[in-house]
Amino acid sequence: MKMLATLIIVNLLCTVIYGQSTGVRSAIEKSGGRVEAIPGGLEVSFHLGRRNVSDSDLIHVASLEGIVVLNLKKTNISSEGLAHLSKMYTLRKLHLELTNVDDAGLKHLSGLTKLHYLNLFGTEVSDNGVNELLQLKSLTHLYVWETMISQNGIRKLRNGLPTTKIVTGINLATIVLPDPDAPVVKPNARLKFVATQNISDAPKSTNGENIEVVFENTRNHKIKIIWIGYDGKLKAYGELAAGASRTQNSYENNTWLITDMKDKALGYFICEDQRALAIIP
Amino acid sequence: MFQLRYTRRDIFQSTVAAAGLTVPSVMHLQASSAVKLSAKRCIVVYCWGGISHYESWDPKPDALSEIRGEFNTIETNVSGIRFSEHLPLMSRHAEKMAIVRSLHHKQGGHQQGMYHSITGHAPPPGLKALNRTNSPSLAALIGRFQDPHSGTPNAVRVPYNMYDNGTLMAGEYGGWLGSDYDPILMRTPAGRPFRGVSRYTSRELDLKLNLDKERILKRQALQSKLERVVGTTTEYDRLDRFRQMAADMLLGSDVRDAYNLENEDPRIRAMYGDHIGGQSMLLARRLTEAGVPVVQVCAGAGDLAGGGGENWDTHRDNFKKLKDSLLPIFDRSVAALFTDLEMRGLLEETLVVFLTDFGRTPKINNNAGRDHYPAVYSMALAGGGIRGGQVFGSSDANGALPRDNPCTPGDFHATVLKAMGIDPQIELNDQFDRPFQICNGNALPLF
Repeated sequence: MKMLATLIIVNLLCTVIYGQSTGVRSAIEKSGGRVEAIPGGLEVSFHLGRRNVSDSDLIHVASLEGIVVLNLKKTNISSEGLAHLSKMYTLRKLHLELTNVDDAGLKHLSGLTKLHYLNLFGTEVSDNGVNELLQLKSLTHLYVWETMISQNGIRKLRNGLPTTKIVTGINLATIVLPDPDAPVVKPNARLKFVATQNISDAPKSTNGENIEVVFENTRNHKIKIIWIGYDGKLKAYGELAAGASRTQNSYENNTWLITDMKDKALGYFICEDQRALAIIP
Repeated sequence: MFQLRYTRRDIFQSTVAAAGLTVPSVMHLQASSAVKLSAKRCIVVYCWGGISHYESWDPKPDALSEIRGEFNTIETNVSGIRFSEHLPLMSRHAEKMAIVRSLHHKQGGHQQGMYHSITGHAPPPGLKALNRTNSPSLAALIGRFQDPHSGTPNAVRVPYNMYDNGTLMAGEYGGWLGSDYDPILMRTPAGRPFRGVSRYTSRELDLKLNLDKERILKRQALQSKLERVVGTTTEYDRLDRFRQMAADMLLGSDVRDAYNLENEDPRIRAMYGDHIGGQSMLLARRLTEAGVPVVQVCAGAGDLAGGGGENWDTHRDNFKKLKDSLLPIFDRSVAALFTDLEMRGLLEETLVVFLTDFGRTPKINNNAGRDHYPAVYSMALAGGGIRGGQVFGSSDANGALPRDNPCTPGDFHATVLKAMGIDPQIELNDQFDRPFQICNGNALPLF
């Protein structure tokens, strides 16, 4: 009987707690947020909600107790909104990447003594925010890729937070982009052009290794490129202007039919086991 | 044991009765703030065919040349850990990785080895693809415990199905979890393909389809009209769920946006390389970032095709194949993935898992190849709360048998599940309500 009474009390208590949080939860969910129970407390995330989350939405978040992880990635929140987070003392992980947060917001985080993960990637935070960041002694991970913080600022952070992993990422400017205008590297191997005016002469494709064909049209008129399927059906693969060349993904033993613009057959190629040039004579 | 049938979110969302059970545990857990946070996403990289442990993460520079092979080794950024010389980019990320060098099982065939590796359970006799008594794949099982937003699949595979000489392989599906948990196959919409043979079934999703909203809605309306006439069956309902999800994605969702690699910064795309191996890894990052809980990447051609083509089944020309294409593509794409996940702050919550069928024979055969070898092989983990820069277990001087801490695919699975916050010991019921223990291994101390 005593046990039953205890159970009832516990359940009532839980109902009260749950009831309180339900209102807040539905407010959070209305603005695209999600509340999940995770080891250690609650995780609240807005980044996949596809709604416009703004600073005022954080009022509800701040009133929910026990939030350990808060994800505000790519939302419309700004530095002013962070004021609402200043008393979320249980917070351990905070995603602010790709938001409008800047230096002005960082002062609101100084009381969060359990915060170990702070993501500021893609924000406007600059060297002026470094001193505020240096107050966050509990940080183990700080993400500042694509921010305005200079090399000098990074040095200051590394000196002031010696045990924090400060991730600066790569400098995108150092990545060499492929040149879209680079000429097609022509293979040495050449496919035999079998001239015919009769489409039915061209055999069906059969399967084999994946290769590439570089078509080159040496005629003084446009031509059509047609693939003959495994079932013998014809499938158009576009046109090739006079003098033009094009790389086509294909397979060994596949047949490519060439016609003029009036669909009159000119001839065909059969792919071999390597990348090869197909010159339309 | 009501938890067994629900995802973590369901538990919290359920009624007051459930609240009576869960809220106190939440409160209790709050008290201990040192609780480790679990990984939220998982990327499974599968080296189909069996990656050579000698030429990747467990080189044997001091063995005789017929065992050692042609390659040298290089220092990684963790002193004491050496990789094959053809993993120069990945070797800069060893501090993120836990290499397990003492895995072993008894399956010498691709189908059986892959099944054991990808499901964590020894294969039953008479294995057949898509059989609903098969064990679920790691991706399917992890996906089972997640509750993604609507229009977001629980698990995705890219870019190919696994085939062996035209036969669809068992293991990478939902198995007894039911077809709802079959990871959905998506084509990677860019990149030079792996040489060799790769196949698709009719049910892969190609979100590149240039369908406009109106057309999709019209088609859906027509379909539902037809269905009212035809009536429905259970299997039909499941197909319908798949179709609905496809439509949700096509109509515009984070998943569709993620699928469109044209939306990515061209410099980031270039970092992964212009090969489908790299672009698939990029797609995995984008999909997990967009809320897909788990993505499995087949890192090689889809059909082993008798050891022909670019897959890890290197019976012939092991060294040439690895050096010319397989390792450079793998190295660049994995290093790019690690760099990218880390600088976005996603590596801590994204577990990257490397799986393969088995290792390769110590002795190099007459075709300069290595054959199947399940007696010892290596796999790896990174991110997701795993302590990087460590090697667990070891193989002997010739890489022929486990020396320290031998472990099984089941142990490796238990480790992955633990990292994802899933208790490896629990039971789930299949469609006929029969209980199955999801994993029969013990988690390795890699945290």
